[in-house]
Amino acid sequence: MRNLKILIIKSGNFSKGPKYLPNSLRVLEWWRYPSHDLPSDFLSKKLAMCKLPQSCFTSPELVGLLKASLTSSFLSCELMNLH
Amino acid sequence: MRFLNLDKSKCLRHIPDVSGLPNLEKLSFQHCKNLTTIHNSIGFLHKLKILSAFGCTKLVSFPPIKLTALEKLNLSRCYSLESFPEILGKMENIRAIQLEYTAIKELPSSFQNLTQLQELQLSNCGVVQLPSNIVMMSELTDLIGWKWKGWQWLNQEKDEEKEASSVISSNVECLWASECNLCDDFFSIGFMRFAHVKDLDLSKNNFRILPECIREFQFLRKLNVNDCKLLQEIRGIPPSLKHFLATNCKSLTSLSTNMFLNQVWFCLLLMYLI
Repeated sequence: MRNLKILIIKSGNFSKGPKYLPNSLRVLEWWRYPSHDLPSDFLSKKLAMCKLPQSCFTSPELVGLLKASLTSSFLSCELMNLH
Repeated sequence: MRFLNLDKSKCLRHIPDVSGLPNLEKLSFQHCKNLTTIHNSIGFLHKLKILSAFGCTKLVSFPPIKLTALEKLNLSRCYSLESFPEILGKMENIRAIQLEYTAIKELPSSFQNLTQLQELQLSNCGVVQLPSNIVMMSELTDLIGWKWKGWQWLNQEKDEEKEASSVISSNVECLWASECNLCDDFFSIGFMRFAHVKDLDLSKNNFRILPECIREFQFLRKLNVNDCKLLQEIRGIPPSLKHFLATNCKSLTSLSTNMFLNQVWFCLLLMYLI
């Protein structure tokens, strides 16, 4: 799934977080994301929409998430068309 | 990244440095009940249009902001939030601000930097201190407040000299201050700044006298003093008044009511003669 651009999970009951998320993701929406961390090798430069409501992130993990997105390039209007 | 949503993240205590996300347009961390601090970098996201911290109940302060693209700022239900963020430069894209259920005690003088603000709604706050330069905000037409514990002006002393020569009137047309614990001093301190008001709601307050200066409110068409249970005397009526509401004003004596009606008849007579 290296080309997956959109991942939306609004309900579900996961015992563990994912081991892998594709770096091709542009939209990541995951309600009650089941881990404190995103996968360590997840470094999506194209991630434009990150929606993680009701997650159990604390601040340090969030720093990791934001650093991963640090190099996010500006995304064209393509994203809006997807919605 | 353009959208970041961390709503209802119960473990989140701190919003870290977001300067690495210069393209953010929407940032939401509503109902993060343990959030107490926010990194200063949040105030400098120049593309940010929507910022919501609604329901962050432990948040006490918000860093200064200069968010030139910001259109919506939601800080309601931040029950512990004691002050509105300082506005470090002109922010010309905010038209309306609604703040309810906060502990905000004062709006900073820099609030004036919201140059295009038309509507300010503040409800269920503490004793609200408004900066006196709010009257200089030329676009502000609607000032809606209810359920305050009191009303005070900031920087009053500095401005008294200026005001001695001429009273600067705001462009506020609709002033609602219902249940704001207003006493008689409300009229003696700064009230004339609202001389251009058209719709004035002072219901459910604690003043005893509606003073004579109300006559100078030339544009006032609707005046509501319903449920002002201590109101004893109405000393004047504005010349353009069309609707006057004063039900359940239990302290109004028949004498003061008669005096008021006499004034009404006098005004009607004047209108007839002119």
